[in-house]
Amino acid sequence: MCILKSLTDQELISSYLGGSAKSIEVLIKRHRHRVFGYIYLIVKNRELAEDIFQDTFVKIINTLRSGSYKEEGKFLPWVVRIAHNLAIDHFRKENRMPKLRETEEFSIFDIIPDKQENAEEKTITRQIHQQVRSLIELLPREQREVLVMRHYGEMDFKEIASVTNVSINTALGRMRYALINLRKLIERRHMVVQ
Amino acid sequence: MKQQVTFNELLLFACNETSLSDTVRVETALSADPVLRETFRDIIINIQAAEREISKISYAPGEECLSKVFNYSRLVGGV
Repeated sequence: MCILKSLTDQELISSYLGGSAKSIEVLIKRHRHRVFGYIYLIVKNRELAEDIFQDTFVKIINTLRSGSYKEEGKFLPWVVRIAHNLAIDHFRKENRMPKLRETEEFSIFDIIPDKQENAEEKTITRQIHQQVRSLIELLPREQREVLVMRHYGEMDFKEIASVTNVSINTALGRMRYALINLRKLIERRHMVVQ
Repeated sequence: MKQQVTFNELLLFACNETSLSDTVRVETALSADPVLRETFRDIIINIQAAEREISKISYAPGEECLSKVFNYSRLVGGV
């Protein structure tokens, strides 16, 4: 397992196709936070995010096994693109777009502790997490998408434009307003705290 | 003469996504135009603020969710 962790994404894919089931597990674990983070911030519902996460990787596994994967060196953006399409498919089927679920309680499972924390530290971490999530969720969906695609999906603007079916200038415009709005929200939060 | 650089080009430049020729063009424009430098500084501050905020949080699927994916991968192939 330790040796597998040192392999690149492409090497893990080759290893998986060569018969090592552990390789795909290492690959999925490596990217699980980013892929799940992207899905969760778009659909805003943990259960649905987990369903889409599973569907995404089932599709990834099937594509890899069929030999049609061609995205050399671009594994994560490819995964996020599939996750994005599945999320959009879901909303199309449901005939609705995600809305802010104000009644949804913050889940302790959202936090990935980096270290052992005492009760007070856990509370602070939880509060920070909740505040940041609230700020990002306040952004319009198109702006949120661009922001999280760049952060979680490590996608460039050309890829984001392609996935979201807009021009690169539109993707850049959305990023511009996402950054401006997020900064305003952060400043407003600081004013409230002070 | 000041070079024309759009806001979107500045944003691309800030994200290291400009072509070599555009990079040179934006750098030249920035060195000649203090107003453009101020706009660029704002872009960098906004990007850094967003990165700082997003980096404070992390998400992960539950163990059961991961297990289902791993089970599927074992089912369809691999040792």
